[in-house]
Amino acid sequence: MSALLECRDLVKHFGGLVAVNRVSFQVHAGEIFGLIGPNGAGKTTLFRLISGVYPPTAGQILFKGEKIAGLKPHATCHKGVVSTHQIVRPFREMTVRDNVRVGAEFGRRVDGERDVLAWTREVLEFTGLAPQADKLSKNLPLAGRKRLEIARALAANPELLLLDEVVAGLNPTETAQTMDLIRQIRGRAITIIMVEHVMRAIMGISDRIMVLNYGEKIAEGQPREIVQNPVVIEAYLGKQYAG
Amino acid sequence: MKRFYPPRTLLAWLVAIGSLGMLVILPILFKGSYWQTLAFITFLFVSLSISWNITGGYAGQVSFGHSTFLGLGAFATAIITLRTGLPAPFTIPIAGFLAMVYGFLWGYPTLRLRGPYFSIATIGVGEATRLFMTNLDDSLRNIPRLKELVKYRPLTGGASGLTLPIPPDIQSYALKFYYVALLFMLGVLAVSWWIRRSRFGLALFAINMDPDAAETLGVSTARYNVLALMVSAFLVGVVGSLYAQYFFFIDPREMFSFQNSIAMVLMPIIGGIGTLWGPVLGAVVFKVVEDRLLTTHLEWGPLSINFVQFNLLLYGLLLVLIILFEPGGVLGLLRRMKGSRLLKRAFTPARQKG
Repeated sequence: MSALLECRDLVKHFGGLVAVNRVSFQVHAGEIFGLIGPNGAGKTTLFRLISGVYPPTAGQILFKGEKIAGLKPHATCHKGVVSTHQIVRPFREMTVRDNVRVGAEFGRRVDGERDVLAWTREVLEFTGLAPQADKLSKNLPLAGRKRLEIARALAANPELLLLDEVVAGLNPTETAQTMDLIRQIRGRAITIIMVEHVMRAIMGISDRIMVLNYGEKIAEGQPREIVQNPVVIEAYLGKQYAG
Repeated sequence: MKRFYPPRTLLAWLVAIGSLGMLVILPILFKGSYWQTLAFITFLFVSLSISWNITGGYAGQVSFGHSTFLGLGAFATAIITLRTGLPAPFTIPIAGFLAMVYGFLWGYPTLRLRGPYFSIATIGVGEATRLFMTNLDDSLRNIPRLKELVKYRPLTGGASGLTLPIPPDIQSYALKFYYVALLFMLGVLAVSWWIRRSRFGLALFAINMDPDAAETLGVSTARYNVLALMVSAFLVGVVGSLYAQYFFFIDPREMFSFQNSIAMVLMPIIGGIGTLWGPVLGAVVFKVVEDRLLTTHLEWGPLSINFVQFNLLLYGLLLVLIILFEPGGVLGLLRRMKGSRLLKRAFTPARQKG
């Protein structure tokens, strides 16, 4: 299997702080790749490196074999890498529809003609936001805004979708619904990398998981390998629980 | 393309056509250059206000450097007319174009800064431009190779400004410009209206509300910010050109003044920043208040109070009140008032309707 995304020895410094330290991994087309780790492990920083918010201090990011490190977020978006934000950031004074339309208008083009409005409608239907399409996005409840965050990103037509804590703050029902949505997104041949703190959610859905701690990769593997990995247990719970 | 506005009601159309008709026949009803000139300058300021709103209101990049475009447009027209003999009306597109190029030149680096940092940078650009243009002639005189440029006639005129030739039939000339300015104002309003419903406008509003999110979704914030500034600069440059042609006298210290930049910031804020009609209302309020202040003075016992002195104080106070109590400006106030459903529909702020 060829890698859709490959990171090689990725390093990011913020002054003296090493937020991401020589992290290498590959994500294959069609998989859901989970990213976990204690607070401050560098998960969000890693996302921001991939999406282009920060340039890496060192290392290389290859998307479909092409170097994308150092590109601005709008450029990586046009390549097909789209991220959502951990803290939802809807365009507050715009309707839900116009929010999605921004992604549809400015995101990656599909081959051939694409009717932006039809595509917007399709994304709204797919994500179940169609009934709220004409509401101002600031008036949506948190679950709706989280969903809008995903819908907007989908409208930009990604090949690789980076989801940053999309179920944080949601109740169990809403979490289950979001997980369903993510499975459906995968069904559309979109590869997903997701950061999540809700263990049950991410363990149940991911094909593979990578664990970061203090900016370093400490484990990678299938969910059931990860939960039994003593290094991971130590990072989360402390030494006395490991082994 | 989908409409962002519901169709205007009949009443709104009647109001629009009625007021436009009034403006067309105004110079015929009120013979007299005072009112005509006040109306002319108001048209220009409405145009400035709408133009500034494209960057400041739509994209949310608050520029305090827009007098650079106004001055450049005015001086482009004056210098070209005086030096080449090209009829002044032909210099209008050149004036707009030069302002646009200047907008690109200083916008490209400064628009990388965000929010207040951008605003502060624009103050610097504005002041630097004003000083440069005011002292240009003197500086050139000291450079041997360039001395010839200003040997026989001034370039920007320095502190004494430039005077354009005055046509013989001043009254019909002024009347013609009244209608030119009116038409131009309508044109600028049309541009502003078009931007709101275009893809370009969607990008600007997205950048305004959240630049990071816009960038993530594929909007090149740098490119659209610069484009918006260039459109705005072009229109302001044309206003500068019209100003020079109407008043025949321009002075770099006044044209490039910080006061002019401030006026362009104040007008849309007074009226309702980021809306279509807010800048129009704001400019009218601004100009009328200014005119009343300039011409009114109070006699109170032995005291004679000239309101001109309180000009800036009043605007400062107004700004504070607006930002504290009604960030939507006059439009926001109107919308709050009872029975405002019609207004709400006619003046939808930054794309509320899908």
